[in-house]
Amino acid sequence: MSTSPTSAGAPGSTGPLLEARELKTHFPVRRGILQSVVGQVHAVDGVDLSIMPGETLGLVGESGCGKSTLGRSLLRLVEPTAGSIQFEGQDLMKLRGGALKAKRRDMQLIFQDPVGSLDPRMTVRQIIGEGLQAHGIDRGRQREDRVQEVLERVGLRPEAAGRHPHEFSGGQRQRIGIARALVLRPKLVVADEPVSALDVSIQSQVLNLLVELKREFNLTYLFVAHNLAVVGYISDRIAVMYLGKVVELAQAADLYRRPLHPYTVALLSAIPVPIPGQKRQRIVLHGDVPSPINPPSGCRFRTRCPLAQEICAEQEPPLAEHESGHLAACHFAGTPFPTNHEAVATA
Amino acid sequence: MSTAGAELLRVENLRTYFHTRSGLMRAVDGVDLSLDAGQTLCLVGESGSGKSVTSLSIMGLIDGRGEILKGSRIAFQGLNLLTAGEGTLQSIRGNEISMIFQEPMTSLNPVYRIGDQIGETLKLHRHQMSDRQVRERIIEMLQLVGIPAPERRLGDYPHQLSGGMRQRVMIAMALACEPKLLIADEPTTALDVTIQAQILELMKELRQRLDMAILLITHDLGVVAEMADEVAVMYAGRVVERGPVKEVFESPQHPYTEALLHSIPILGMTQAEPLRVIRGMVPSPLNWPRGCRFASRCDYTFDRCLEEDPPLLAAGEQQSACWLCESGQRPAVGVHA
Repeated sequence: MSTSPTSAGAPGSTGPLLEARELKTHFPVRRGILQSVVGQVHAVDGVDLSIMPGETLGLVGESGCGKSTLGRSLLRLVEPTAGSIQFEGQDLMKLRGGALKAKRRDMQLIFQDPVGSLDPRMTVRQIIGEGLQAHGIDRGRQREDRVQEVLERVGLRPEAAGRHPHEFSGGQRQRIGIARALVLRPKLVVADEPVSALDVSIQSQVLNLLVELKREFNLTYLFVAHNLAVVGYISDRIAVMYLGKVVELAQAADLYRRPLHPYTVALLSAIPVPIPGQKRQRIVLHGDVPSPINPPSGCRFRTRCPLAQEICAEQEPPLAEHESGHLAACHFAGTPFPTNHEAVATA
Repeated sequence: MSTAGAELLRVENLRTYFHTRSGLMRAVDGVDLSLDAGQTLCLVGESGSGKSVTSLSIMGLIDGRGEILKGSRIAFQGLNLLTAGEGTLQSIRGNEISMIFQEPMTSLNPVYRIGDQIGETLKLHRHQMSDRQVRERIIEMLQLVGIPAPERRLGDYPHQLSGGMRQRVMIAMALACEPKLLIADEPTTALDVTIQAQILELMKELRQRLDMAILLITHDLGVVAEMADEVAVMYAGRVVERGPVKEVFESPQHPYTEALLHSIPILGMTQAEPLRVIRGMVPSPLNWPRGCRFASRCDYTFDRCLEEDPPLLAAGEQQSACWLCESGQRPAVGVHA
């Protein structure tokens, strides 16, 4: 079973840029003075995902669903526990030391927190140049030219190079973070909640910039965020995560038009729409997300799902293709909610 | 536009300044608001617009470095809170006006059981209640905010609860004395969207059941559209537009409101429709610009905007602090039309 339209998975120009199979990232839970392992946090728990060259794949989910860990695991910034990751047909999991480092030039990360992710003691020139230095690209004058070029491209003035991060606003700091990722001319950029710490009026500046840069540098994005409206705006396809699993994957438009997984339906209906007086049905999910240390048997969403039946506790539904290019992991995918259900409120 | 009746809260020319090491910070600089009983007023704005300081001023929670200037007025049921004695204020705060905050973990005391924290408010304002009555009331409140098995939850500490549950406890605490006004400062911002939906539904239900007014502070225009009767948009320490929510969203009269509404992606929107960008940054409260404070970022600026500061002018059902509204409503600039 494949998660990409072109399922061959063979190396070459038509295959995915990055392809993960059965990817798992578990973190040990330690307790007591001997720090013995008493459990595992199943942060990412068996994910198949392909990212096609030139596309923007959105990854959404609520806090703790494993979306950030997945983003980092794909770059091996967090070491996966099991599974495989192919990048341009090469197995990332087999790369060590220098070879992995060299590959990292093609894969960059943009962080959520524009304050915490920039070293306050470094100048912007040093922050952006650090990657060039690490990869031994250019020196002196040429490196400076490259830094200046990327600064200009992300909309910062040349004199910014000599300043420190604290001298900039949140939006400008995020531009520095983007410049740092782009200066290496990566193929894949994982953007982890790049606009969620920014004010609304600044958010649109950064979103527009990301869209322009993608076109200009022919980038591929994995865009990780919790805000479905933002993810939908920027993404070609969207993967929805719940408790370490991808539960639905589809073209952005299809996901909105006809969500198949009940979690996606609830998630979409929970988002307040900025149109006063708009009547719509809201699925209010009861309870909280269960702990990823001890996820429920069968379908992980069943404890909160208004459609759950016995089979959901017994068998884990596979992520299967229900419509062309539209996958969902649910025994009752596409089943409408009973309108008299207590979970359905008219908002 | 009120259907529920009398005016409950009126804020006039509120100015709250802070003395900081970098100079005088004019965080709130002439705010006017009014809220009728049973209604919901949403105060919208970006960080630094002064919306939180406005709410803290109403609650009387401005500390030593801050100062509410003479000439400011905050009237609650006709009583000016700024000139009232400490005793009067204490009988109002937590009783007739109460507040919930964005981060329930930092607002709850980590070393007290949640039952005791709710009980504290009751013991302060309802001296006549016996211990048993207090306990019953706590259980009733926890039930009201949808905490399962409240008898067993009484003895929990805040860290034993999830984020959504903690916010429910905060709400239970705030509502224990059945306030006439609830001030909610970004109550769902720290929560996930499905939990946010639970809390918003809860607030709507309780608003109706307890017939209280809500002053809701938020930056999320979706939350505003869903909750508000009236809306006040803040920018640079001032209210730049106010009016009924439908009118403000459908025909924003201030260019800032208009730009803000165009700059957020709406569910289902794609890159084919570029987002409106508000260029530049919010000015600093240490040094507000002369004239209209939005002028340097505005698409419609003309000479007068740079010279004179526009007051709130009547524009149809709204009021807008923009010179374009001098002769009434601007032509329709609807967002989702």
